[in-house]
Amino acid sequence: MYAFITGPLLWLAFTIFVVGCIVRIILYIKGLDWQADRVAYTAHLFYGIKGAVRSIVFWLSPFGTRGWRKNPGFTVVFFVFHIGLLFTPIFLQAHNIILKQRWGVSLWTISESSADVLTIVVMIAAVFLVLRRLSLPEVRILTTTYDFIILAIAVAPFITGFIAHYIASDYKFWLIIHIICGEIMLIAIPFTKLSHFVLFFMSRAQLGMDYGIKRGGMKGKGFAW
Amino acid sequence: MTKRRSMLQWKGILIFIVLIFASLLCIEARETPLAIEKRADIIKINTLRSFGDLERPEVVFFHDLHTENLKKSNKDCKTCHLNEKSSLDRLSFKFKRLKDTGKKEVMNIYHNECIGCHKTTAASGQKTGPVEVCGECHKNKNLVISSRTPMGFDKSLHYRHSQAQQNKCEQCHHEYDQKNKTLVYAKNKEGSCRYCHLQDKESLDIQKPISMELASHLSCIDCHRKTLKKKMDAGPVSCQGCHDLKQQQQIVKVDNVPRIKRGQPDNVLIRTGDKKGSVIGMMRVPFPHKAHEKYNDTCRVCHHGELKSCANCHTINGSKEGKYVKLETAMHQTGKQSSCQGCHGLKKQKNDCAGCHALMGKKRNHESSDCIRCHMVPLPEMTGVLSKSKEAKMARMMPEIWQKTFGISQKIKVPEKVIINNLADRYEPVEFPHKKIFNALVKRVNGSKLAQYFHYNNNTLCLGCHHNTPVAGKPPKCSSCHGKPFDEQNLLKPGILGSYHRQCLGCHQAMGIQKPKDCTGCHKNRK
Repeated sequence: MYAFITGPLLWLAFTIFVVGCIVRIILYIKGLDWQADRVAYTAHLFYGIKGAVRSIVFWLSPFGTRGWRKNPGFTVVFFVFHIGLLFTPIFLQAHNIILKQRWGVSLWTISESSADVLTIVVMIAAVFLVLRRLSLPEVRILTTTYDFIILAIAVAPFITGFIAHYIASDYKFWLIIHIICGEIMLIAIPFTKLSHFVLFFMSRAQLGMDYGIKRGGMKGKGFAW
Repeated sequence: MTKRRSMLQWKGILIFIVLIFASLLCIEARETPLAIEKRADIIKINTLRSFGDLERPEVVFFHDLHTENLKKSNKDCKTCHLNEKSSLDRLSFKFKRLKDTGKKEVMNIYHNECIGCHKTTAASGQKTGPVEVCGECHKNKNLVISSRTPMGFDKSLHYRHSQAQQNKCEQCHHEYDQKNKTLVYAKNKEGSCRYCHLQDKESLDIQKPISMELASHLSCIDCHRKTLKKKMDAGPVSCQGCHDLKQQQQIVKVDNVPRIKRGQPDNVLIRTGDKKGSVIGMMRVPFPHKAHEKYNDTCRVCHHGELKSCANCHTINGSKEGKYVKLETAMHQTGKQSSCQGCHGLKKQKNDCAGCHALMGKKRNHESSDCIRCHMVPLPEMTGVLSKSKEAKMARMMPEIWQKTFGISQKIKVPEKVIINNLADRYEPVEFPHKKIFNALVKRVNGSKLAQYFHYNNNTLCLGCHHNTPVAGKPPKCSSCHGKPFDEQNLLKPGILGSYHRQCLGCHQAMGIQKPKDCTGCHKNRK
């Protein structure tokens, strides 16, 4: 069982994740229409890219945008959640030791205690995100059960990993559940709202280009309206 | 409509996921039967502790399991242990390294080497250990506990080793020469390894002698391994060979071990003063050193720090060398095997003695008559010898003096039977086999030299039951002190019913006597 889920199934999950993400990127770009969007993407590519990078960088910085500054509490929870979600699995010592054993390469690692803190923080942040969706009317109106399932898919590897490490009496059983949850998350990324893993960059780039070229970005640069 | 249906579908999926999680937690909460295994070869791999707190649980490693499996594939210790120096064929205690150079390095050595070997073994189709799953080595809960029994080098083992080494003490005994920074042999200064090699775990201080654990494993196993290589008989090289109780019991014991010669006296007068000149007004204690060598398995039972006189460290007022344990305490401390009264007291806990002594309580006897059994008043033939401080002469006279105190006659008149009829209204009177019990105790006393020496008076033995009674003459009846109802003014003094049952049953229990099984064992039913 372990050999299968960490062998063929893991490869399948990674392939679906990578190929799926690429397909989503391609489809997003293909879906752009300079005439419908009224943005001259190719004509002013330099200003477009400048605007895109600017937008991405500001949205990736905590309190970097007006949106973030307006909701400080949410911003903190949001960043903590996403940092934990990305950093923990990638830089976890245990994952990297396996990587080293399998392929002879490993990334820089974080200590087990920092990983524990990040895991707990992710779980707590997830609870806050659920509460936010339940309590704030402007988000509740947009929320369906689907959103909670997406959140559950994202947090499940953390909960099961934590159980396997600290609580489980049957370690191997929980480890297998943990790996399956991780694989479900990878596979779910291209097919669900979790695709914002790549599409965040695409939509921010699109809007950034819009602003970089048309909405003031090229002000005074001889832009023909 | 479509939206509502899709909402319903998602809710269904959510409920399904919640149900799966709930059932998983139920499986988790179920009680797993605990089958605990005991092993003598457990090594806890927690080397990284020297670099800070452990991040994962320590690994419980079965050493013998690994050596046995390596043997099957014609591999030996060198598969895991490196030579300490290229010129020296002595293996390092550490796994695949000579020094703990850094946290990451040590961790990598364990991960690469352990997992690497497990992988190769698995590839060859053999059963092997974990290869990837972290928690299979770093277990939170271990169902294996250590049954490791500490190993000691007793007289028999010492004799067998000195025979095998043709009395070449220098093969094992050494001292550290600070000047030349080397180990040298010092004749007549041999002592227990533990005097220098302490129990502490390996310290980073290279000036300190290595721990007893490290020293014994390095030296013993190394010598055994090399001897076995020469196809000669040698001691164990496996953990269980020394540390498993059953295998320990199979180690050949030499019955009459000749005396170890290390310049020790046959008899000594234990000083009641120290080298600083302080003296206490007690008679010196003649001590048969040679006889005590026979009673004990090792010298370090008494000489726990070094092979020198007790007063060397334990001074009258206490000193730093003696950890401020005064001479008086060193000799009289109860519960300690290294003190006279402590060791004698521990002997009293044996079944043969405990019948009387357990009921007497643990308090020290301060009767002056007891002190002089050790702090002997010199006999008439010895006076003069003492004043001339010819201790050696006096020590030589001791065996004859002691002879006079041993072999006491227990020929005192004791009644054959005593009829106890306090419960005559319910049972037949008890026929207490007084003589039989007395004789059983006499037999036990005569079986021990220590008991003979301290039960010197004909009536001493009677005190076991007839307590708080003058040593001479016919003792009063139990009922003369213990009334029918107990004395409410003196709750420590039970009534007659309680006193008989406490005394009789207490003694039987302490001596491990299974009888009587029930009331009728003593009290026969009324006809």
